[in-house]
Amino acid sequence: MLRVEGVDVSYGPIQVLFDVSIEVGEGEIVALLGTNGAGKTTVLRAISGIVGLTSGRISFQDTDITGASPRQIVEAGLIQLPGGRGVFPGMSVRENLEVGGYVYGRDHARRRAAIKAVLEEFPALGDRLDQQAGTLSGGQQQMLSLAKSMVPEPKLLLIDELSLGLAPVIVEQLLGTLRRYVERGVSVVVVEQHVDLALSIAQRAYFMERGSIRFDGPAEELHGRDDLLRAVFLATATDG
Amino acid sequence: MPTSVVLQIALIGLAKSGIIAMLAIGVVLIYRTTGVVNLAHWAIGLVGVVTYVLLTGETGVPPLLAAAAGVAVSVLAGALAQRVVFSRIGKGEAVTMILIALGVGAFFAAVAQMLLRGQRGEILVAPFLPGETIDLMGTVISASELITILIAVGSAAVLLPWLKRSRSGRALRAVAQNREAAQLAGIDSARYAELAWMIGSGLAGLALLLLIPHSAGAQGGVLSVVHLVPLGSLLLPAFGAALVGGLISLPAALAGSLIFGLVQELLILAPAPISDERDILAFVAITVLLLLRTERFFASNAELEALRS
Amino acid sequence: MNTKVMAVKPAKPAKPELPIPGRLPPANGTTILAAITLGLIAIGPLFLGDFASFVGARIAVTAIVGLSIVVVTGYTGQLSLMPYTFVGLGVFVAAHAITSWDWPFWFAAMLAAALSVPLSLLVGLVSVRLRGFYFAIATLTFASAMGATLFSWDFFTGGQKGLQVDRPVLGPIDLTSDRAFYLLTLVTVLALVWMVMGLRESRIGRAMTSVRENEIAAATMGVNVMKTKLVAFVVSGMIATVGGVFQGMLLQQVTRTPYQTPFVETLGVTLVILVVVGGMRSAWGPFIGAALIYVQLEVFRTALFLQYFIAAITAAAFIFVLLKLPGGVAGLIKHEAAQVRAAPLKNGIRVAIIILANVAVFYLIWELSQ
Repeated sequence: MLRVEGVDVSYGPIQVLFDVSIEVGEGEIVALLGTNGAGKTTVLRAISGIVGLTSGRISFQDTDITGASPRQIVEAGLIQLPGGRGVFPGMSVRENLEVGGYVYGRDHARRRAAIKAVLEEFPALGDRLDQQAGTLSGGQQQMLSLAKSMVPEPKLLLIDELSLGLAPVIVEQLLGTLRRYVERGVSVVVVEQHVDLALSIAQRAYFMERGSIRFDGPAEELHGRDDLLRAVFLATATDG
Repeated sequence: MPTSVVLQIALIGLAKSGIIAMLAIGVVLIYRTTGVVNLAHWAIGLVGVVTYVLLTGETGVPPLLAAAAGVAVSVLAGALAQRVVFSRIGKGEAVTMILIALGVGAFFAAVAQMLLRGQRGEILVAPFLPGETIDLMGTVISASELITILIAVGSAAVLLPWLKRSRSGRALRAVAQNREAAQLAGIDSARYAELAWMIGSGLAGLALLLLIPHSAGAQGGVLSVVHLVPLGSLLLPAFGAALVGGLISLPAALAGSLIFGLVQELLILAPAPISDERDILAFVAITVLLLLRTERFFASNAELEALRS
Repeated sequence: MNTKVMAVKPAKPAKPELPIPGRLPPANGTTILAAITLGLIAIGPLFLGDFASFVGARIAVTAIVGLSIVVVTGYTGQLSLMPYTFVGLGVFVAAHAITSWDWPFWFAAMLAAALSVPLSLLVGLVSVRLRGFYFAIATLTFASAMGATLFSWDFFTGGQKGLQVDRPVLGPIDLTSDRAFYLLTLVTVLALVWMVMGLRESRIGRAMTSVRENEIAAATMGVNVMKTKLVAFVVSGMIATVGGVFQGMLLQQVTRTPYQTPFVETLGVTLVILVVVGGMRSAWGPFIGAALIYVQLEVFRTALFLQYFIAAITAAAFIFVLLKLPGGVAGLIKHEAAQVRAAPLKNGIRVAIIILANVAVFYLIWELSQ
């Protein structure tokens, strides 16, 4: 459903992506792995229309979305969960979800229904609707971030670092919710530092190094490629 | 001291607070959404005032219509500044950003003076607020002051709930708090940055227009061209007021405006050394606010980080 | 034997980017030509008459004040919005010392510079810990506070009437004529440019640039960030104050108004603008910027409309320089000079065409404005 073909991206004079091609099928979970600064986040930003391409094309559900605005891309059902803390810290949980449903425009009824449906999947948030997002714990913020991304009813979800800085129990919880969405037909691209985690949920994987794709194939196959993964393991080890 | 005099002075102070508040709101709004500390704020308002002066002076446009046109020109100037200049600067280059804001201010000030065709003499300015005074149980209030207060309260009363509850207001705050997450929710951040500039600039135009009765007399009258420029001298108190909220919190900035305007006028009643050095006290207050780094009271570290990067 | 040894070319030592004070840059054709041209331009006003000399002196005095911005903003990266407060201090100290007390002007300049130190220390100690915009607003606040106190003090400023500043007579040399005064300011500004260039190459100068580039990195390299900022601020204040003494002698009749409301009078802003356009990281920048702007303003003096038009264009140029040309005109000249040296014919013709086109446009506007 997503097809990224031969994409180059530059920040000013510095080229950061070289001929990147990625494909995601219907209902598939794809992992995008790589060392720090390999360009994983840039790939997601390019797909979401936050950064422009210098060459290549991107299509989603057989529609060309190269050069489309972030808004058009969100409206098409391609949603990204931002990396780091993706919430609006000064707003309440409810307001965060409302902003998540920004693309519904003036269709308030539809937005309300979507938020209600999301709250059924994330009951913990329902108790904290009026709490400021900035005062939530890290895990709760990430949960809100995920919930917020579900409000516009994504067909394909791009996730930048789901597990970063979170306790394993909480990550497992978030993954459980995510799996329920996948069962209903949502496709997912996960960018992860945490290789084992990514490979345990993904069917296929891409591995990036210095702006290029170095490997693509079934997730189990990447598991055996110590030559590629060593760099990541070393990086995660030194990061703590 | 008769209470009516105190009340009268308090009202003058409130009117001043109102004008400071309208400037401070713009400063906060623009800083929060785009990270620009807008030292060009007064000059953008000035362009609106000059538009008003030209329209009423030469073409005989009704004052209220001319005032509306003035505000519109300020809005346009702000949008232009954001689109042509400020949208092109990366955040984090603090000094470059301030320098550019100064340059934009100098540009609009020069344009304003150019529009006046370099007249150095004095120009006649028509009033657009009624010049009457109202006697309220022994307290004489000028209508223009009352209207200034009402307009200031009115704009805050419209703006704050709009930011809080409307979809666009929420989107604006979202852009301010986490630009990338806002974009990923489908919000056109560039459009909302421009909207913040337009609102702030319009308020600046309105604020400086409301100053005309103070500079040229309530009946309208002679306003020297040289006096147009000092209309910007209120910008420092406006920055002071905005600093009360760390340039981030609008309610705190409004409270700050109230203090800066009201206290400064009421200190006239204080004994001699204090009443003479009111300006100095204001400067001391601003310096203290700067040193307190007030922003940390209103935003988490994560938010401040986002604002600067 | 000797000749043989000399024939073996030793590896050339890396040239320092800027000439170190006390050592002239190695002369070659281009530098000699440039020196002659600059020299002719510099003494030109003397032949053009008193008025041109006055403009020349104004450019030189503005360049002196501009050097204070080079030190604090160009080198150290802190934006001070109070240069005109120091100028005002110099102006009125000059009025008292030279005219009332009959001191020689250089003695007055020293006194003014000394008096600026407590002021800049006071401001500096309070505000060096502030960064970026906070520092700028703090200096603006101090400038306003000084406007409401020192510059509202009738004894110091002579009240509404203002004060008189006499131009000095140095033994047989009478500096009261504009031509002689121009020469004095020219010599002074050249000496200061040379010193500011030297400052950049010095230990403290390198500390300043490291603070500008990255405060944290500078601190980890052992640079005392606060002290460096403070020194930059004090040095800059001294330069601006000395500039003020010359400003006083230039104008001869001085009033307090420009210094009372520092921000809104926009004088300070104009100064920053011309320094940035000229190139705020180069000691020549203020000179180039002042020359560019004052020559235009003086040529079009009769057309008030054009004055503001020039101000608007200059502000636009300032924004452009900040966005696209961080070195300013000084950087541009340096770049073009290198290009011409690399390919004299091709680039020389290109540069000549650009300069001629500029002169032609300038002349055209002048013709139209008459």
